[in-house]
Amino acid sequence: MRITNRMLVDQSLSRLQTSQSALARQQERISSGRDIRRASDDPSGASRIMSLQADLRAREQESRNSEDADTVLSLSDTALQSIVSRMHRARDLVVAGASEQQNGSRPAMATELAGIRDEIAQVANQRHDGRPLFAGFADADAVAKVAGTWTYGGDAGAITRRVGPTDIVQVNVTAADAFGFNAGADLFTLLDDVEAAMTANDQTALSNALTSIDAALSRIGDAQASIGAAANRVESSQIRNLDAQLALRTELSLVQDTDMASAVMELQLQEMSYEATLSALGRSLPTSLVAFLR
Amino acid sequence: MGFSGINTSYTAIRAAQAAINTTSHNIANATTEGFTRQSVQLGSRPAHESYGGWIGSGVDTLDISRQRDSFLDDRARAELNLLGQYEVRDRLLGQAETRFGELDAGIDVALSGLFASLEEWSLHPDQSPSRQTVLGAMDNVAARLRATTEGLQAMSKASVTSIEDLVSQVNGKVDAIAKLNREIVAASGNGSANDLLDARDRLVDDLSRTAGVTVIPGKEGAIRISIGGLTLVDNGEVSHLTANPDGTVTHPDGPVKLGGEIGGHQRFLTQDLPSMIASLDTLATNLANAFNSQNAAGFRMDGSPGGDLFDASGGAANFTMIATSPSDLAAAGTNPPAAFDGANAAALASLRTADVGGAGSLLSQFRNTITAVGVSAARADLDLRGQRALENTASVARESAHGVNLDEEMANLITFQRSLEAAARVMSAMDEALATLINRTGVVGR
Repeated sequence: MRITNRMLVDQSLSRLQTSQSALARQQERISSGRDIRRASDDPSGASRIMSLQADLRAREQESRNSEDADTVLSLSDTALQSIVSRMHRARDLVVAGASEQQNGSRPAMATELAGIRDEIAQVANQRHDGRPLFAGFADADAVAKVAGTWTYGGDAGAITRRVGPTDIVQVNVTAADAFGFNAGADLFTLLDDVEAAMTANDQTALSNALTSIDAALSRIGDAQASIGAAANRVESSQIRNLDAQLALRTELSLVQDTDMASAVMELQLQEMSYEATLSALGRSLPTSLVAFLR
Repeated sequence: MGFSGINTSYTAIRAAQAAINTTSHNIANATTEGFTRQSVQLGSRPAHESYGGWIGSGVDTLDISRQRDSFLDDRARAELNLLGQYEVRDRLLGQAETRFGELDAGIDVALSGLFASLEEWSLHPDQSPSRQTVLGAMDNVAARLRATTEGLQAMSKASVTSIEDLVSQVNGKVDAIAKLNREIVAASGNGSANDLLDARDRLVDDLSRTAGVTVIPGKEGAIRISIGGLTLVDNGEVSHLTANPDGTVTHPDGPVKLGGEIGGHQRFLTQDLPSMIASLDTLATNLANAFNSQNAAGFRMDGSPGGDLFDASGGAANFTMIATSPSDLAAAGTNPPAAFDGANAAALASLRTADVGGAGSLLSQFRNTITAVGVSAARADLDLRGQRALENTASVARESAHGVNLDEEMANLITFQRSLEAAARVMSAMDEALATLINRTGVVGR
């Protein structure tokens, strides 16, 4: 092939440009720390990155949901626990009151029972972040005495939290379920009745009330069990979620981040080839027959 | 016998001078873009009968011609046509891709943020700040969608303007080629048209790159240039192209399909851009439908069902958020709405994974759109690289045939210098012989 001087220059220039753009690409890889910055860099990799980012974001939100669920569940559990211990005290008082020996102390016991009832009502109306624990969706006291009758002030709303991709957990029990309003035998009316029986020294009524108190305790136990089960689900979801986040971050980094060792190696190779092109250009251009003819 | 040898060597000296001058012209233009090396064609002059037989009468300079191969030209121009087209398309698709943002700042990220804010709101449906966050995230999605679409539409306008500029360049070059055609026809009678031909070839190269043209050789060195069967230049006659506001180009005889850079712009305008904008419009519609119907399924704080959140009736470019106040968001799933009922907020958040319009989740639809643009841009880049290599091969082949090699010219120079010296020597030999005859004959015994 006939080689002309212009060809030499043009070809060398185009090789220099190719070499320079390869150099620039490696420098961008290293300085940005990203292998894929635009979809056109690697369309399938880019699609994977976007999908991983969306998944990661969803898992992070689920993690926040789990934390919120955990707070509500443990507050509910503590509240129910303290109600159970109050009910045990009430049961002890009723057992004592039903006995002959306690004839003189029933008025005091009646006062204590009234105190326990008010205390339980207070715990049942406990709020977290302005929101009642046992009233469903409603912004109202869960239990209240309206016109002489104990009533449930909330609704049947089931508060749920999404703690995993498909894992939705109910994080509340309503006072209607836990305290017997739905069964037509709420424990506040029961405590009212027991207090009245105590004041009236009605031993028979007191010993009959024990069955109702046990039934109330077992209903609270059921509520505690469902809260506990939900807490377990939330906890195990949270563990899976954190594992998933770690896996997602690892994969995202694998797909997206620059492998520094290889990038630096690649950069040095490109630099070498660039310098080699430059020196080849320097050697080939000035030589011509012109220099040797006199 | 006469001393015709003096005249013979004179023709040799003249031929050598012509050759040296041509070599000098070649060397002077060694780096001139589009220059074709020229060479002198010599022919021996007819013999005349003389004492002892027929003796030749020297050398004639027949022609100084260009070493041009029109097959190589045609090939290089075909590659230039595609190169122009691919370069423009690669640049435009690259720009279009940047309108969608980098991978960690695209519309899909804004949408992801909206879903996260909705879920956060479902945890605290009563709290105004979490509703405000949702509104902000919705506004962000709408603004990103609008900005992306508007950016693409601005590119469409810029392409139309570029086509207008390129068409007026084409018209200018067409005029110049017609003028050169006339000059070449006039010059081919007397004197050399070589450098006019070079100038015309350069213009035709430019035209190939800008619009993709076909060249048909005509009479007396003139050429005819056509695009898609419609004539632009016929000898000295020209037809001008007109660029239309929609990016199409018309010839006086009808619409014309162009290649080259103009073709690249047109392909972007008619194929790439409409499909991008159409998929953004579909996304806008799906997004608005999904959110509006889910919001309508819930109840606002005052007990009324939720209204529309987004309006996609004007396409993605006019995608607007209708909801302006936190109370427009319907959190409750049942009526009358309870204060802490976030069932519909959770349902809105769960649109994240819901299939919308039978095309997968909204997020995956956005991802697919961005990936599709990336795939086109990557393809255009590959096309361009391949075409660069092809164009390079063709232009190297052409340069190899047409270009100036200084070594070759130096070797020629020495050859011509020597032949000039030799002719001069012959002339002085003749001169001496003549002097002997004139001064020394007839003086015997003097």
